[in-house]
This record gives sequence, C-alpha cells and structure tokens, in this order.
Amino acid sequence: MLNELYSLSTAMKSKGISAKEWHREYKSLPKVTAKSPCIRIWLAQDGSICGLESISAELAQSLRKYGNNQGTFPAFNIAPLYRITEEEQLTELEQIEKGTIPLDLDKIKSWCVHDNWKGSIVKKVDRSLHTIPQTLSGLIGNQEQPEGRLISKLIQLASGFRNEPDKSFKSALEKCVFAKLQKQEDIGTLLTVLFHKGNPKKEHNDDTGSISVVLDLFDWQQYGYPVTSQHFTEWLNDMLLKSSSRSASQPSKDVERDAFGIPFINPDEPMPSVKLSGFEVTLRSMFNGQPCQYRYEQIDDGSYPIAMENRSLIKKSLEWAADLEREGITWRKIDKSEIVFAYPSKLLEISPKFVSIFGSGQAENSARAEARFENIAKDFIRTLRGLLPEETPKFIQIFTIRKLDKARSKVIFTRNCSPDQLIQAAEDWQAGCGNIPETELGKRETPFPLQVARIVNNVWKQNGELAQGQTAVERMKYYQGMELLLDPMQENMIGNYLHVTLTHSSGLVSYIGNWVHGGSSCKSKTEEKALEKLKNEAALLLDVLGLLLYKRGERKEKYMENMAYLVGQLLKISDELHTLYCKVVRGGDVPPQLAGSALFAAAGERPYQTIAQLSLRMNPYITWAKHYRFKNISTKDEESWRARWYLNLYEDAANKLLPAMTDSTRFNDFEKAQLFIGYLASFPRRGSSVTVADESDNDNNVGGANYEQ
Amino acid sequence: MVRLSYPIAMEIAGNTAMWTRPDSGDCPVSYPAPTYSAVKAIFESVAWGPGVEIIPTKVELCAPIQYHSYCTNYGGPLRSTKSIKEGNNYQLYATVLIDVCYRLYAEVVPYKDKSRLPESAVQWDKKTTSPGHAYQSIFNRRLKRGQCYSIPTLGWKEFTPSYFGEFRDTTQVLSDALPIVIPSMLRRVFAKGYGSPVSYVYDNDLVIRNGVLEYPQRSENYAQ
Repeated sequence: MLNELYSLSTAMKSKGISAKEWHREYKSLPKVTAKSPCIRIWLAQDGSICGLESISAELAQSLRKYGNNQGTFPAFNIAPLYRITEEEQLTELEQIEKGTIPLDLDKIKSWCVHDNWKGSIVKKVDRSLHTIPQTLSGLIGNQEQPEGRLISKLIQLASGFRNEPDKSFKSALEKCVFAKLQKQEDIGTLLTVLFHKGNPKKEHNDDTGSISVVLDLFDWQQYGYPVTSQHFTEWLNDMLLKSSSRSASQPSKDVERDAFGIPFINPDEPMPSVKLSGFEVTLRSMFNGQPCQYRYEQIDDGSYPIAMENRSLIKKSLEWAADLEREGITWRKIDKSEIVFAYPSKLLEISPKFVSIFGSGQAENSARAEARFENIAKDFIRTLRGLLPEETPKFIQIFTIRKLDKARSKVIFTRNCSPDQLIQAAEDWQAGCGNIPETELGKRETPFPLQVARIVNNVWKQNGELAQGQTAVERMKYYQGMELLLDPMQENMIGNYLHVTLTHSSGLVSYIGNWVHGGSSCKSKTEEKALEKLKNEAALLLDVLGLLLYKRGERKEKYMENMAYLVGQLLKISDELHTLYCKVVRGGDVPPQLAGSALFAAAGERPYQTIAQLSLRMNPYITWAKHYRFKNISTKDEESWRARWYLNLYEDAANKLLPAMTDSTRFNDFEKAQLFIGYLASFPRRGSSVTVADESDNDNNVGGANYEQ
Repeated sequence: MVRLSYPIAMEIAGNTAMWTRPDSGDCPVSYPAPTYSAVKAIFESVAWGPGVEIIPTKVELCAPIQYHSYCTNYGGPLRSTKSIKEGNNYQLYATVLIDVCYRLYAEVVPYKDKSRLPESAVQWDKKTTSPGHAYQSIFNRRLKRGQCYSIPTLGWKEFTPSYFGEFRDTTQVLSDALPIVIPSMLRRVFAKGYGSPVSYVYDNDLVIRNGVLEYPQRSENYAQ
C-alpha cells in the first residue's frame, strides 16, 4: 500500500496540499447514532460525577481519544451498569424511554440486580482512568497553557477513582444516574447508562453492550475551552506530534536511507493506521506476536525502513484520499470490507471522478440516469481530454484494499495506467458491452466493471429466482471486474469467467426467454416489477457475455452467422411459433413451457440431437402454420403474416444449420454464450429470405420446402 | 586483455511467482518484476561462483502481468502461542503473479571484497586468471545442460519454474506493454555481500518501459 500511496503524497506535496496530521494513537470516536450515543461525563472539582449528557454527532466527530486497544483517554467505552433480560422489564423500560408510562424509581432500583461490569470491563476502565492518562501526561509534560492545566486537572480527577466500593468510577456513575433520575432529567440517556437490554439466549459475558463516554471538567470556563471541544482536541494533537518528533531523533546505524531514499531515523514505533469507511487499516504491519512473520530476524517496523517524515506523509495522503468529501472521486466502497482508490499522479483543480468509472455509489444509484456507465465515462473522458498538456497526469494509480481479519488488510489489486489507457479501456468496455444484437429486454444499460462480479456470481434457478445459499457465491471478485476493464485478458481467464457465467445464468435465460417469447401478461403490479427486474438482469447478463466475446475478438457481425447463435434463434422462433399456435388454436392457453425453451438446456450440450428433437416437436405447429399463413387474419397478436414470417425465419436458420451441423457437434463455452445471446436476441428486421410484407404470396414452398423439419 | 565484466543471460518461466514487496507487510504483494536480489539468486542457483559477483542489469517481461490471490495455511512451530494451543493454522494471504516468463540479464565481475569468502573459494580464486570469464563459460555450459546448483525458484520456494534455460525462440518480449511505475523497489537485503548482516537497500523511481526493467547501476558493485 505504501508504494501506491507514495505517488499521491508526492502529488499532494507538489500541489501544496497539506492534510491535517493526527498522532497515530489519537483516534477518532465511534460514529454517533440514535442507537449508539456518546455520553459526556462531567467531573466536579471534588472528583465526583456531577452530570451526564448525550453529545451531538457533529461534536463527537471533531473529538478524539488517545490510547490503544487496552484503554483510551479522555474518551473510552464502558458497559451499561446493569443487564436486564426479562421480557416484562424490557417492555416496560422501552415504554418509559418513549415516555408512555411514568418513571417509577423504586421499580427501576429493583431491576438493578445483574451487575454488568465484568472483570475485563473493570480492568479496561481502570486502565483508561489511570495507566493511559499517566502515559499521556508523560508525553505532553507540564504545559503552562490553559489547555495543559485543563488536561492535568482532568487526569488528576480521573486518577482519584479507586477500585473500592465507594470510590469506584462505577459507584460514582450510579450515584449520579439515580440523582438525575430522581429529578426526572434526560431519562433516555440515564437509562442507556443504567441498563443493557440483554439477550437471554446469550451468555452474560458475551452480551454486556458498550457505550462510548467522554470525560470533561464541569468547571472548564476558567481554562477557556472544555475538553470536549475541537480546539482542545487539536491542541492535544499538536502536543502529541511534538512529543513524537522529539523521541525520534537518533539516526539509524544499520540503514542510512529509507525505502524512498530519504535519511532514515528510526521512530521505533508501529506504522500508523488510518480509519477508512467501515474499517481501519494499518499502513503496514509485521506483528511480533506471530513468529512466522519474522524476516531475516527482523519484525515490526524494523523489517521495513521508512522514515517518520514519509510515514506521516503517506498517512496524511491516505486520510486525504479517503476523506468523505472525495467519495466517488478518489475512493469508493465496493463491499463491506473492500475499498477501491484511484488518483492521478498530478492533482487537478477540478478532479474527474476517477473511481466512478468503476462503479456507481448508492447515492448515484438513486439517480439512475446520471449513474449510467455511458454518462459517467463520457464525462470522465471529456474532462481528461480537456486538460492542458502540462496538467495531464502521467499515470493514474488504482488499487483496492480488502480487510481480511481484525488486524490484517491486503492490497488485492494494483495498477497504474495512463489517462489514455483508461480512456481507451472505457471506450472498449462500451464497445464490448454493445457487442450483442438488439433484444426485447428493454433499454440497454452498460454495466459498471464493479457490477460484473455480481452478474457473474448470481446463480439463477429455473423458475427465475436467485439461488441464495448461506454463503454467497464468489467465483468472481469485485476487483476482477476492474481487471476486465483495464487488462488485456488471457483467453483462459475469459473462458473461466464465461464458463462460470453460463453455468450460473442458464436458468435465468431459459426462464426469461420462455416468458418474453410466450407473451405472457403480468397478473399484478408486483409481477410486472419482478419481470422488469429480471429483464434488466438478463440484459446486463447479455452485456457481460458480449463483452467476454469481444475480449476474445468475436464481434457480433461475425458470430451472428455462427451455428450456435442460429440454434439460439431457432429455439426462439420455435417458442414464438408455438405461442402463436396456442393463441389462435387454443384460445390463448399458452403452456408454462414452450417448445424451444424446453430444449434450451439440452441445446447447449447436444445441439444436433436437440434440433432433431425440436423438429419432431415443431412438426404439428409448422404444418398448422403452413395453412394459417394464407388466412389473411389481422386480429392483434394472431396475425396470419406472423405464421409466414416465423416459417421463413425457421427455414432460413435451418438451411444454414443443416450443412454445418453433424452428429458429433458440441458447443464450447464461447459458442454456448452465442447460443444464449441468440435465444434472447430479436429477429433480424429484414433478412434477405424473409418476406414479411408480401402477405399475398401464395407460394406453398416457402417455409416448408427445405430443412425446417 | 582481461575484461572486467562478462554478460550472462537466461530465461525463466513458471505458473506462479512472488517477488515480495516489503512495503506490503503481513499480506505480501508481488512486484510486477523480480527484484535485483531475486535475479541474482536465480543466476547463482544455476552456478554459484565463489570469486565473482553477479550484477543483474535488466529483466524483460515476456508474459502479461496477472495478479492472483493466494492463501496458505501454515501449521508449523512459528505460529503464535495461542494458535498452537487452540490448534489453529496461520493463514498467509498473498497476492502473487501467475503465468510468468522473464528474460534475465546480468554481468559477472570479480568479487570486490574477498575477506569474507570461505577458504575453498579463495583457493579457486587464486587459481583463476579471469574469474568472470570462467564463470560465464561454466554458467552457459550448465544452462545448456539444464544443470543447476539448486533448483531456481520464482521468489518463494514452492514456486518452481516450468522452464529455465537458454532463450527460447517462441518467447516474445512485451515491448508494447504500458509503463509501470515503481516508486520504491527492494534491491538487496544483504547489501554488503556474502556473510554480511541485514542491510536493506532500495532503488527508487523505477519504471518498467516497453516490458523492460533496468536495474540502476551502483558503483559499489564493481571492483575498482
């Protein structure tokens, strides 16, 4: 990840962009929501707790806490004081919180039975009140400024809590809660601190709940700002950064220069971590707790020389790139634990949406028209082409980080490509997705590269439903869609994706083909919506198939003459003719499975035998159509010219197929893809042998003389 | 006249390769091309010359770069105590290269610092008037015969080559490949030569242009 980010840090430096730097152990607070509030605990001069209140999400966002997994200060996590699991108590508690029933303090006290502060929580809170503040105090030293005196006072008050019944932090908190409840003040916050709504099925130790709290001094006015203020947070950060630079001042004896060529001074501390959307990543780690991670007897930051200055620059550049403001421009979340980054080697005043070309975000999805690949690619290409030569970046760095477990994250995809290459890739992508003939599946929409994995991985049942097992199918990863966009693919990789896609989507093609060819009308709005959704999925699937064929050099103009495509068309013609027959002869009673659709799966495996079987099956319909075409009927959907048209198409396809097909003909995956496309593609508008308009033609040989059966 | 350097070259291909980027830490990712030290070690695995130093000069990429996710379960003694107690494996997640093929080039020069050489090597060196030339001949002879001192590997030991030897006529250099920028690439781990302590040296701002990565020349490699 460091190599990828280094170019960004260089670009930021040259553009004069300086992102705010935060000390590596001064971390932001958890996101505040209605369900997970952050509670400010006011400490009085006598060491007691004199107030509790919930702070706003905005304020919480500007605050930080110093520490590590063992404890933090001045904000830390506690557990609610008691746990309740009984149904009756839980219901009553919710009603009190909503204000539908009044608070009965005696009853509330009677519920305080199951102490929720287990050993580990007590220890962690103890570390957060004593050990961590002492470390913090040691780092910043004695500061004469008001902020320095404020934090010293807070540390002094926090250290006053002891693990003794009347002097503990828990008892002080409980005392305050009951005093406030007595006064009926801010009941919701107080009850959140007091009770954890437990799950009776879970072990108490695994179900204690957690609340984020932050300590502050009630009499802060004399110091100018409270601890819970942006001003104080920034002051403390400056102090911590100063302390870091003081401690790392000894040049290393073994390594003169770091990995990026600047003089190496060993900071002797782990690499910093950065909080991204949804997870936190450490820039680089080789953890000494796992002896197998040692390399040449080196571990932790000793195994990779990188100077403090570069650490800081790289951390800042990742924070800058991952900023919420730049979502859709430099980063995008593609999965719950995966993020893609893209940025140019030269930063621009108006930056094109680099990552949008890979996939659209949720916000953009709501405005679907704007979020289409075609529009985004057009915008992107126009912006890049409009740049002056001196502004044009040399390359665009693209990489994906995936969180693998609690501690580790991995770069799973990394590329740098020139703007021209990216433009070319986007244009090829559009051309590839358009490598299919017209269909009756609605308006064509080019899928985004990050959408391809979902299309490939979706397993469809024969009834048009998604087969959703306990574990999601992940034959193709999201980033592989980006590979498909950017890389010249090897034939075996294309073959692999194609094989997976065909295996997974056979059910959808057969189902949607049967429905569309059968002309079934939807019985309700819900059914209509479901059909539209399926049509959309099938259209996207065909785009992917077209793209994979395009990547292999198979163009629609050529493959539409191929045997596999024609077999698909023959099945479609059979479906349509069967439907027409049912509408005219059986009064619209179309069977649930049509003649072509029933043989769709078999056609992919044994085409010759399937066509033979289809001929037998179609025999009565063809015989009927030969007579019907002369009836000159023009009732809607029962027009006699349709019979002639279908017969002509059938004959045309059969004539082309007969000489090419033998008993041993088998389709490979590329041909199967053509079969799928052929089955869902529209009929040619006007073929050389198709004479739709001339209904007066009485030549009985048309549609019956050659190989249609 | 005794020349100071003698060129050697070979081709190596395989299904999987891993040229570990140290900046990727506990989830290693591969560089697109072998590092300087990896190329040196591949040559040395064909023939290790006691009195000579092999200086890789360039590598040509002959197959498109394809990354692949790779995971191994390690169940050996170097797991954390907790994992051993609970019988859990350590999973190593890596991003490796697949279907690789390279043409490697190097120069052979007499060894600069002979003080750390083993006695047998010193004796060999004394008997040879032109160690570079001797090594070149031995190397080419062995390469032709498919002989090696130890099996060359494509980064990790488990990634054995599907081919190593002289250049094949069918191999094509990816001369139309787009440039790849590498801001920092590990050059050597034991920079001070045979038997020296760990001392990382990196090359900066490298670019793979037209499918060729040229390793920067450094004066410390050449005998004065």
